[in-house]
Amino acid sequence: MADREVVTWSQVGKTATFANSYRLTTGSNTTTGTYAYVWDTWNETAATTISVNNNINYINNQVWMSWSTGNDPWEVPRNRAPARFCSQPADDDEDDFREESVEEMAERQREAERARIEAQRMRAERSRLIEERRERLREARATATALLMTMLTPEQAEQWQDREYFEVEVESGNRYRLHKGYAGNVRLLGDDDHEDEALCCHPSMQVYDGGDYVGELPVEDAVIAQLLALRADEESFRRIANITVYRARRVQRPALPEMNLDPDQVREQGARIREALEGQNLAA
Amino acid sequence: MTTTVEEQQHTLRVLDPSGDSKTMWNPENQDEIDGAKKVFSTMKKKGYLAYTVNADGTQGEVISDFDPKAGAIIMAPQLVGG
Repeated sequence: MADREVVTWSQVGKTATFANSYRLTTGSNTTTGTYAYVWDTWNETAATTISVNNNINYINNQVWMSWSTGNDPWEVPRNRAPARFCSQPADDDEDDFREESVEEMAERQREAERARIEAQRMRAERSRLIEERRERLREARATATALLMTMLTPEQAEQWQDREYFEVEVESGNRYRLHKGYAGNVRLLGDDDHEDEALCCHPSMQVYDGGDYVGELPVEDAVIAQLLALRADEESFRRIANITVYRARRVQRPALPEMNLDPDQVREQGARIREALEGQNLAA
Repeated sequence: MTTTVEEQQHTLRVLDPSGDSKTMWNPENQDEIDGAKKVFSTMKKKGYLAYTVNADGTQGEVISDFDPKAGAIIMAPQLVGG
């Protein structure tokens, strides 16, 4: 017989004992034999030689130790005496070997069932908390949107509802487009309504009370804060903002003074200049 | 002409994760003024900026001290460059 035999994950968690052979217990029935475990039985309830209903009492913990230490988990030395269930450390002393009793197996199964129920309860609790958080956020955004609408003209409100942005003209004459968003959502508009610049200036979205995290500011509140700041002090807003220039604006040059010249006077003056030059014989 | 209770109420709104928290006060009620002033001071210490809003909804000005006569005040967190 080979020194090692391959064992499978499907055996872990089941109750089987074996040394060089295997012993399967189903209720009060016990069968023994030898066989090779195959990879196909991993995670499958069917097995080549083991029925899913078999009550197989665990496995040589060498398998588990192999898993946790990175060794080949499939090969177990035949001559190693199986120790206790995989939660216990490896033990080379064969005298410590004993089969798990029916009561111990039942307790282990009860414990597994309790753990499963607790995990299910925690998943349900987590889902409930997530849904509560989503509902709070929905209500917060509705409140913030209502406040924002009170600060907009009917045209701006219509823009916001249709396109999720609105445009505002500030005291300097500059026009800005405020998109729905937290950062980089403010755009400076050119005369042709092209977005010339993107300005990133926003309130801190995470709100803390002392050291305690309170929650996240709704995006509509961020837009309100930006609108208030732009209207109140555009210069400070632009100074704080991280500005990305999409299209440089043309520098307006000073207008040339108007020159109202009479064509006849220009011709007359030109003639006088030519006479003066001919008299000086500059060509020679 | 008499004014309704609602018309007498002035509001202080603070932008927060719930949308906004509203504090109302009657300019003729000192207790309510003190309550609103306390909220105002607390938020100012946290770095919030206060803006007045006119009756027609247009924006007023930035204020640093609580004005009990202001019809509506909105307090928003300070802005940072992103």
